[in-house]
Amino acid sequence: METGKGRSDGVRVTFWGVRGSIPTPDEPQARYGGNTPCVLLSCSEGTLISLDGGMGFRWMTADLMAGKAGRGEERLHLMLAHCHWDHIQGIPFSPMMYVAGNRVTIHGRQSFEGGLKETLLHQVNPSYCPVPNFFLLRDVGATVEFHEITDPVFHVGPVRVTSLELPRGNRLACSGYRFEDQDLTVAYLTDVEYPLGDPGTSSAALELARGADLLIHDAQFLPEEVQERVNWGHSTWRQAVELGNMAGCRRVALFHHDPGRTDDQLDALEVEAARLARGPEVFVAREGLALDL
Amino acid sequence: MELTFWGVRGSFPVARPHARRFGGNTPCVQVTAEGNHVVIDAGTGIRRLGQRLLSQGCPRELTLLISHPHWDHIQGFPYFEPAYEPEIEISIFSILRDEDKLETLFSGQQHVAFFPTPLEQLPSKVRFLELEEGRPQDVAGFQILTHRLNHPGVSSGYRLERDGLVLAYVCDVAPSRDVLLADPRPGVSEEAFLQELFENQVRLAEGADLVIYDTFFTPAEYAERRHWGHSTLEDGLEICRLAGADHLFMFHHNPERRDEELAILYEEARRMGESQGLNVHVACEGQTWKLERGGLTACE
Ligand SMILES: [Zn+2]
Ligand SMILES: [Zn+2]
Ligand SMILES: [Zn+2]
Ligand SMILES: [Zn+2]
Repeated sequence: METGKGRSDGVRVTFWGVRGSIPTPDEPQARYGGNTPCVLLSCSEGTLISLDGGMGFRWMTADLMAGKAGRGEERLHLMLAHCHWDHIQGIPFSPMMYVAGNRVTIHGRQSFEGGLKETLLHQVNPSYCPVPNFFLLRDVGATVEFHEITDPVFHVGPVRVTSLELPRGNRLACSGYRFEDQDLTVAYLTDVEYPLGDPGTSSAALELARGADLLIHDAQFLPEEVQERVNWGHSTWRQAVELGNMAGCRRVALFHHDPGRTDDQLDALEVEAARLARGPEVFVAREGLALDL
Repeated sequence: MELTFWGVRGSFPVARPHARRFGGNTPCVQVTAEGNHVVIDAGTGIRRLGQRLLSQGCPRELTLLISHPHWDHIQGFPYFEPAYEPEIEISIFSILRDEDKLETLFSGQQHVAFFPTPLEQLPSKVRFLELEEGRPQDVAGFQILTHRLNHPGVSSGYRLERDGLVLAYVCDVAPSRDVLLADPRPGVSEEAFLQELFENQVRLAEGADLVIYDTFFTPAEYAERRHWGHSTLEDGLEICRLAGADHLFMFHHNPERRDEELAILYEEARRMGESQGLNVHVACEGQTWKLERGGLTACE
């Protein structure tokens, strides 16, 4: 797979993990992929932004090792939707984290007492974690920095980032993102559950997605499943398309597939979702897919 | 006795094409005998086991033996669907732990920062129990023995015995060359402690019909990563020889190991086993094996 290491013309989006909740290395999910969330944005001036650090992050950063990351010269920004396992479990196994000289900035919001760093330190507590802990000073490889998001707008090199909190039923809020680079916009809204199932109720979602060239959106559930899944903190593919319609997006990638969703079901759902689209081109995100905007 | 491999991969789940044939789910082995039922480790493989159990009329009482709380051995538990059924009781066993209790660690894994449903809110009745090292106990229709293994943290292997048939699960374990435990026994020399940890493996496998062994490394890989806490086929062969075991299953496959590579390693391993009268197999996800007095057979 070719990653595209920072582009001067356009943004390349590569899907490395599209599955929600838990990795599914199983036959019925083999085509769309079983790795948990990770999407790489290769932006201008060589800026690399990883959306989430699920199991896909392990393989994405292994791919970077062939280039600057292998020499300890890579600079990566990691944006976390939240700290659920499926969004962070690839970080400790990432080979580029063990190479001194690499610099990784983790952006996100605290999800429990003490903040983002403490949350991730709990993850790499040696009782659970079989590998050395690069968050602490001993054994360090990469330099890891933390950016606890307080100001909703910030810049990463030439990329303007907007991050707002998204509703998740009665659960802790989650961070949604909008990235703007050279007049191109990518919006990333995952692990979101709208009040009354209506994306129109969330001004944050509308603001992040407005006019995006690509909206990557949570599509964990089928519309018929959602009644029984209130407060699970996810959306349906229908809500993803509705937001794409309302916000005037050019493309909508259905993302964060339920671990039980089979490849055949995803094929069928893509056809149904496309029928509902008024404007955007709708597709199911698949591991290995690279898109040039 | 029947055993089914639901997860055979070590360290982390591998959903990549290179691991499709042998399987990418992390450790989970189901052992059954005449309606008695034990599950060893709760890696991601336990998710599909849970679905299978529910579709077949799940036993009301389930028993889990946990080797140690590294993620790859517990990360499937929050997705074990029987844990969401109010009428089901789940007993989770580990070796006696002085601190860092398994219940605390399971609960930490399901802290609201990491997972939507806290352990305490699971509808099933979940209880945590500990086994004293070296003392066989009757659990769920099996006689079960546990011993500590040389691995970072507190890790233990299991020996399951029933009707004269013996299965040993020796994973995760490193060769007895460096002490990897955080708390070596006070007053015991390092050399004596390593010897004790080595003998623990042999005790678990003594006269076993079948040994499931941590063959994560090749000898060359081990030499570079001695402190990781994993072993090699060569060490497994030695343990089985001393213990007089009949069958060895290569298990806890390296996440980088490609299917073609593992197939070659297995062929070599089979030949090496033959020369000492041991049958070597490679654990493959989804496979069921039947162990009887007459021998071991693969089920379709
Ligand atoms: Zn998620
Ligand atoms: Zn989540
Ligand atoms: Zn392990
Ligand atoms: Zn381990």
